[in-house]
Amino acid sequence: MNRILLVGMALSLAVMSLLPTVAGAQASKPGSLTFLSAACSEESSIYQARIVGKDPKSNDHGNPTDPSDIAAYGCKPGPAIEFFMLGGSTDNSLFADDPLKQPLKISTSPNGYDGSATLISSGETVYLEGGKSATRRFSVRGFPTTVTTAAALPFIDLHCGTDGGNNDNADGLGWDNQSVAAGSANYCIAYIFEEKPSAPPPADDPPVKDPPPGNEINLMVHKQVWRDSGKDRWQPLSPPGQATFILSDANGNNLEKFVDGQNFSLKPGDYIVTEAETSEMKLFDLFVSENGGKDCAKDPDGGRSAVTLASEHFEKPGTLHICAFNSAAETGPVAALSKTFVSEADGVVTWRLEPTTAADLWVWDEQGIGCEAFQGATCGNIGGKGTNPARFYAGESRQYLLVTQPVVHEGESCKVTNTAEWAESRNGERGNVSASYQCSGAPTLGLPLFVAFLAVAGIGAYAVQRKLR
Amino acid sequence: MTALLIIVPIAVAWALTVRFFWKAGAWLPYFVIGATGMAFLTIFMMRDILPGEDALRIATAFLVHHASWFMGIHTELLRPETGDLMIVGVPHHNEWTRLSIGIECSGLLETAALLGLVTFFPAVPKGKRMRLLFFALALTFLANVIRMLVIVGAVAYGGQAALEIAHVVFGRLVFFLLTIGIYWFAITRPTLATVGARLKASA
Repeated sequence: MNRILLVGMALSLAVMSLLPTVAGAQASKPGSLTFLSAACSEESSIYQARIVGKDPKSNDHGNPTDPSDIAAYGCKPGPAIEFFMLGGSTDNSLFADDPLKQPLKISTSPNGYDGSATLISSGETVYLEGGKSATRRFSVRGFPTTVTTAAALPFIDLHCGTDGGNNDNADGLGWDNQSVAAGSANYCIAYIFEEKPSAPPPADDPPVKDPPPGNEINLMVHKQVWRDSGKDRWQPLSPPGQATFILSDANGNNLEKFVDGQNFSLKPGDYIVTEAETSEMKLFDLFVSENGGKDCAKDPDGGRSAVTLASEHFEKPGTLHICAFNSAAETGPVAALSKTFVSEADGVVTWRLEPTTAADLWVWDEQGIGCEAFQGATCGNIGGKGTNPARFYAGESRQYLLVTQPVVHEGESCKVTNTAEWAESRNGERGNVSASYQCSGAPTLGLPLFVAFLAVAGIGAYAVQRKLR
Repeated sequence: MTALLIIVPIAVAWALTVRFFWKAGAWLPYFVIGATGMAFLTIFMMRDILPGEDALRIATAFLVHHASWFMGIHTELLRPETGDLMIVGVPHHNEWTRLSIGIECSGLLETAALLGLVTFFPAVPKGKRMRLLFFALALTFLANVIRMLVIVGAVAYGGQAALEIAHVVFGRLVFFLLTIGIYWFAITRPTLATVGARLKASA
């Protein structure tokens, strides 16, 4: 009996000595954080909630953010996107590896990507120390970072852990100090609106039928353009062959592409003729030539963008002439670069650079020594000689850069001029904008003026005295 | 503390000297030493002991800033770490100008000079002198604000190229003319009134 007791006690002691080790091992196991994206159509419940002004939360389906939320919202796994940590997050709070040796770099800005923060791809898992409280804030690159205000569509919402409020592009694990359990699996999911692709028409078995009646004809489209050159009339596009048209069947399937002035034969059938989209010209009207001729003499009424060919067009052999009328496409506002003075302190002037309208712009500022990017813009190496310019991106609004430049004070005086260049492509033609900043160190000329005043006063007093005598 | 150790003995010596000349009826040295001494002591105290200069700068900048906006010039009021209160003039075709309100632009010098001259001017009764002084000091402050507005306006509408001439010539000329008017009001006119009354009495 005593031996049994002794063995039992020894076993108990052994187990008890192992428990702290096991517990310690469990406590040291890092938590994980997986980033996912979801594509949500109009029919998804999260999109429906968002458009009526509701605020979908991370625990809508009973738990903190979880991959099952995607299907629960009626969404599906979404496009490849990138996440990053926002400024204000705790340093060394998130790691690329399980041993927690490679900390992720945090953006220097609390309001967007700074160009250097570590990017986390959707589907990627990162790691964090279990049980350790930290601030971990995230945003999705490529969409304007909004904090507490709803992000514009197509961005629907971001949910991270238990944080998912405000429909903004900024949430955290946690937004303020928060810890996760050791070994726990956590998720951040970005919900992006994606239009449901229209289903392709069902592939019907082509019925066996007699060929449609009619004659084979030739088809030719004549392009007319409006000229504001004083003549104010429609004129044939010269030379022909610059505009592209599409021949489709009655089901909308593209059959052939051809250009204006091209003559090609067409068997009887049901067809649709449209013009391929172009950025230079806007289609004003498209119709079969009313007099049958190729001169397209009749002025268009406008509004028609497709010609439907049916049996009546194949009654007689010959050439069917179609007239297409185009005017110059309306040009939108031309993007340029705007520069404003922000501040001057400690011998450094700060300028704000921003596009006048959302556009893809490349920006150079050789005098700049530092740069900070906001709302999706990137600094690159803006001060370098064109090697890696800063960028603004179309589709993202309210982007701007803060560029710093040294200024030397000579006593009270200082003056500095800054010139920034921009272009719509890296090697495109550049525009430029200059601004100057000056300190009011104008010479006061106090002593010379005082001497001049004394001289005038003395002369005046002498003159008065002589007159009195 | 150092400033007090310097100013107190100087002030005492000055006061004793002024009193001596006053007792002796030597009005010219009384006036000259009294007025200049008071002006210097006022400047010293307002800069090194009391925050008077700072208060004048803040008040001047504040008033110039709001008056500029009233005139349609969108200035910006800044106070950097050095303590200088500044107004940044409105951009004129992408030009920004920082106008620093230093000792010259604060009106402290003119205020101190006026204070000394009026306080020790013997021809005007004391009560009247103090009333005149109050209004004259207020008018001097406003004249300085007007001077600054001339400079702000020149830069806002003429650009940075207009800064130097506005600062050196126009602003100073405007202030000079206004100061002549203030001195006429505070010293010359009451003196003429006093002299005229005495002449009538003796006639």
